[in-house]
Amino acid sequence: MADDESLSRLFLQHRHMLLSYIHALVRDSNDAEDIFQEVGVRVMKKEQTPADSREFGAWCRGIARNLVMHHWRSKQRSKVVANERLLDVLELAFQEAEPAAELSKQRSIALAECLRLLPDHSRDVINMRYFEGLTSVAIAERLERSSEAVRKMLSRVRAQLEKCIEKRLELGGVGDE
Amino acid sequence: MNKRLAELLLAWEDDTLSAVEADELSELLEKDPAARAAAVEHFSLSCAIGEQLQESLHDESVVRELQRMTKVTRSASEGPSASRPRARVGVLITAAVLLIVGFVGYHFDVHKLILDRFGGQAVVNIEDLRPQVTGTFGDVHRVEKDGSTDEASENTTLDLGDSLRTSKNSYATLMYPDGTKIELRGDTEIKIESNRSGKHLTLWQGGLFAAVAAQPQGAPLVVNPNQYDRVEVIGTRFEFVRAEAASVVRVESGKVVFGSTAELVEISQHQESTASSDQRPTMPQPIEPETIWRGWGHGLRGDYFNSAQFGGKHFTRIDPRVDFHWGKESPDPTFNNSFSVRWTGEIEVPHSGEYTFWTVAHYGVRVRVNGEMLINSWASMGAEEDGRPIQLEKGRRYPIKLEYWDRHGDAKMRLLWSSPSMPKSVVDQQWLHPETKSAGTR
Repeated sequence: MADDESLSRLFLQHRHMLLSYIHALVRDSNDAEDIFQEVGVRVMKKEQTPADSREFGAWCRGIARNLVMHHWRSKQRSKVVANERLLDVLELAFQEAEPAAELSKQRSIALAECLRLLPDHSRDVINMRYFEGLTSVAIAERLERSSEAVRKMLSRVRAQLEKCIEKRLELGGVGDE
Repeated sequence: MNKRLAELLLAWEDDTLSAVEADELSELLEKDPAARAAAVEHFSLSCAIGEQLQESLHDESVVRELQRMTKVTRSASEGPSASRPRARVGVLITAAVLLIVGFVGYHFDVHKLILDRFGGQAVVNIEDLRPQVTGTFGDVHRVEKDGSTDEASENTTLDLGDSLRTSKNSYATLMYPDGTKIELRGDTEIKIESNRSGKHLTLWQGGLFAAVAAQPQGAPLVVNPNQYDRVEVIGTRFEFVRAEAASVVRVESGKVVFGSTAELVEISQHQESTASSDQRPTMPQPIEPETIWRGWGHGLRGDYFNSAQFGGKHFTRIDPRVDFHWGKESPDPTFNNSFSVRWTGEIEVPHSGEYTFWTVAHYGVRVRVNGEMLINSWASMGAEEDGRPIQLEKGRRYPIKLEYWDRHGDAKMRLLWSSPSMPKSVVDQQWLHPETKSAGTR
């Protein structure tokens, strides 16, 4: 199908949704980024190429899913992994979402600002979960709270972030001038 | 989002989802397209948060690493090692994209790639975040991070963490390398925050006028980050005043986002909004453009004397316009009931033609424009006086000098003008430029 340049552009366009998909599967940002990188290398090697560019996302996810399976086997992790049913429905969800859900620049700018605006204690929890990669249980230990309380807090802060992002996008134009 | 769905997704990400719950989640997703869309949004947000955090904590190291790597050729087979410190995640994945792009001969520059990689979050060069003092009037001091204070003069460059302080009736101008200009009023203190993702300032007190050049995508200029009266701009001209009671933003052109996270308002041209720590920003209200202070490069220099004969103790300030009604008061509490003021500077006109100047002054007044005495009424006693008409050309600046004195009674002084195409009005700051050389040079 496409030449090398449009292929790499296409890949960059799908970057965020692909990375989100891999995240959803492996739930560890280090592993997710390793796999994402490997998908990129395979895409550029063009071992297989979709006939239709609209299938590009699905094609990448297919490569990703195989790599995730391989990753799980090699790591022999204790994680809840082999729920085929869940993986299938996640694939369906991402299939339906693209390409509308691709993270826009505006949204990403808004998120950066909204993160900065969080009160310290909220940002600490977000940092522990999404930067340090701690589970709710580990965060709960650190904060001497129950893991339910931590998950509630995460849920609340995420809702706050979503609201803040929407609010900023509604105001619009902020990132466009 | 459905509460149960959110719980299950968080548990899945947490790896604490039981087999029964996994089935419950699958079922929820299978039967409801809205749940599937919500799930994708959920994962998208998790992923984006992780990326943003890595970036914000490590953007400097990423830039360094990137710059280094663009000089190094790497082979495609060279994968990343399986274990590595967290901090380098961002670096390595960027390398992967670089590698791919480099592979196919796609032309790129590092800066563009950084923007791509971070979804539009720019990483700003530190040199672009350090403003220079390009003008001062009166007492202006720089306070360094360690608390040491020195007088700020022209060409002083401020470091991240430094503050600049103006005394009463003193002014300063700061200029960033991109041309963004910030003018400080008297009694003002501003701090250059140590933030590397854009120009961040804190206005502790006082007022400023900012003319902000277009800022990079994702790196707006921010005043008072994390405060109730936070101001964010991409490229615009606005005034910001912070007092104990409340903060006010007035926009001359462009747009400004004002307020804390949950309570943002967008202020457009010729609007203002007020916020305080216990009151969210008011809905933007229209204002007269003249009410915006446009910096101390506009207006006239006023030398105020504690006697009717331009002698004795005095102070100097820059008045945006001459439109005063002191009544029984005087411009300064230490003054006796007699005082005099000399205003000096230059005047421009909106169009070429004949202009008439007018004054309303108690007790006496003299007006000179371009060296010509237009009004000379040494006992005007509050009457409206009109001067001889004068021909003025657009685009030129003419010297202007006003002298005014009061002995007792209802002290007032206004300077107005009119032309065949312009009704009589107070001469506004935008047409006036103060004499800013030190006293006694006229």
